[in-house]
Amino acid sequence: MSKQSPIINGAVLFDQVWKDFNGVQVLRGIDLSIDSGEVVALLGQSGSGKTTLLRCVNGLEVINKGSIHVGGVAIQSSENSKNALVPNISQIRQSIGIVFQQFNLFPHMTVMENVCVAQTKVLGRSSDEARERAVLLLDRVGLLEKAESRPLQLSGGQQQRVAIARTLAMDPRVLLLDEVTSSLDPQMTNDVLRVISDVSKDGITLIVVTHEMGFARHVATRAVFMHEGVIVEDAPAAKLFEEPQHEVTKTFLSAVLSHQ
Amino acid sequence: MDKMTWHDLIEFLPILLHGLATSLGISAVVIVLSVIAGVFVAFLRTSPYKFVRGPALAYVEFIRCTPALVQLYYIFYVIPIFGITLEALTAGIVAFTIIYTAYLSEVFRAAINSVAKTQVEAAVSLGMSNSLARRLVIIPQAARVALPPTVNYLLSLIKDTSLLSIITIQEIMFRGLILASQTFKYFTILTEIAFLYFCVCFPLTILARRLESKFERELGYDAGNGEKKKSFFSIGPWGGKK
Repeated sequence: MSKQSPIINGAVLFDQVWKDFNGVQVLRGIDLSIDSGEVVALLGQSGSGKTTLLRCVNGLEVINKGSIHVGGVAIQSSENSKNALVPNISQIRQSIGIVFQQFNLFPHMTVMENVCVAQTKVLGRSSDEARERAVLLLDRVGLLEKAESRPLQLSGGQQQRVAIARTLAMDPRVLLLDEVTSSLDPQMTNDVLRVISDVSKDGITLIVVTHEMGFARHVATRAVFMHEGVIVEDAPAAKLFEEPQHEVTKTFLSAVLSHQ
Repeated sequence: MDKMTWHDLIEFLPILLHGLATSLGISAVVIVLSVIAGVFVAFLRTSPYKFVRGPALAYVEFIRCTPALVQLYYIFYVIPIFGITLEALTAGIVAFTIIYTAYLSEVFRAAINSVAKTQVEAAVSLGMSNSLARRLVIIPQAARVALPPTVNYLLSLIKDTSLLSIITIQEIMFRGLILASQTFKYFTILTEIAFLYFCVCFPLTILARRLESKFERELGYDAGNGEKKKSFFSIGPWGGKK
C-alpha cells in the first residue's frame, strides 16, 4: 500500500512560477503565498491563467520555471532535473483534492464506488471504513439515496456534489475548485455552492476559480485577480470587491457584476 | 436444379453439423488467442518508443491491406517452401490468429484512446499511480467500448473460417462441398449450409447490439453537458437509440 502523504498542512507557496503552452506565456512570474485554511478566490477573464495556476498546484500542469510548495513540501521546482514534478507526486496528490468543471466521475462505477475506490486502493482503508466515510459524505452533500446509481443517471449538479464527496473522502489539506459551477444551471449551481460554503468551514485550504462573483465574495476570505498571466491585485475579498485598486480589476468587476 | 426434400436435409444434417462444430471450435481457439495477442499489440501500438510502435503498425497495416485468402494460401503453400510445414489445422489457426490479432488490436487501441484524458486526470488527482489508473479506470472503460465490436469480429471470423475449406480443413463448407460433388445436390446443401451459418451468427448480432446499447447507456454520454459522445456506437443502423 502506498505511503502516507508527507504534507502536514494546507499552506501553498508559489515562487516565481512561469508556464508556457507552445511558446505562449500563460503564467509570468507568479508569486503567491496562501496560508493553511485560507479560502482564496482566483478571479480574472478567460485566458488570464487562473485555471492553469490552479492545475499547477497538484501537478496536472508542469511548470517551466520557479517552484510550488504545498504544506512545506516541494510539488514542483525547475531545480529538479528533467521534470519539474517531484517523483512522489502520487503520494502528495492524496492530500490535494481537485474538483473539475466537468465532474469527471468514473462512469463505470456506482456513486458509492466512485467515493470509495481511492480510499481503499490509494489510502489503504478497509472497504467497511471507506463505506462508512462515503455514507457520511454522501449524506453531507445530500445524495445518500443515490449511492447505488451510476453517475450518468444523475443531474450535473448531483454529479458535481458526488465529485466533491469523492475528493473530501481523501481528507485533503488543500481543495482546488476549477469553475465547478460553470456547466450547471442556476438551481444546481446553488446546491453545489451551498455544499462548498459548508466545506469552507472545515479548515481546508480552498482555492477557487469561479465566475460566481457573489459566491466568491461571500465565501472567500481573500481574492486574487489575475490578468494576462500575472497577479494584478491580491486583497481581502471584501476589499477587492468594494474598492478595486487597478483599472483592469475595476473594468472586469463592473462588467461581470452588471451581468449578475 | 435438385429438388429440396426433408429427407435430404435431415440426411445431410449430421455431416454438416459435424463440420460446423469444427468451424466453431477453430473460431473459439482463434478468438481467444487473438484477444490476448490483440491487447498486447494494442499496447505496442501506443508505446512511446518508435522502434516498438513502428513494427507493430507495419504488421497491422500489412494484414489489413491484404486479403485473408491470400494470407491463408501464403501460410499453407508458400511458407513450406522455406522449410516450415504446418499441418492444415495448425496453419489455419495460425493464419486466422495473425489476421484477427491485427484487426482486434485496432479495436483495442481505439478503445483505449476513447477513454477521455480527463478520466486519467481525475484518477491521478486522487493519488493513483499511472498503473493503478490504467487498471481501475482506463481498462474497465476501454473493455466496455471494445466488447461489442469484438463480438462483431467473432461473427466475421466464424464466416471467414469457410475459407479454410481450400486448405482441406474439414469444416462445414469443406464437408458440404464434398457431399455436393458426390450427390450433385448443390441447391439443398448450400442452402442448408447458409441456414446453419445464419442460425449461429444471427444471435451474435443481437448480442452485439444489446451490448452496444447497454454500454452506451453506461458510458456513452459526455458527463458534462449531457451530449452524446461521438463514438462508433452512434454510427450504423442501430446507433443513436435513446
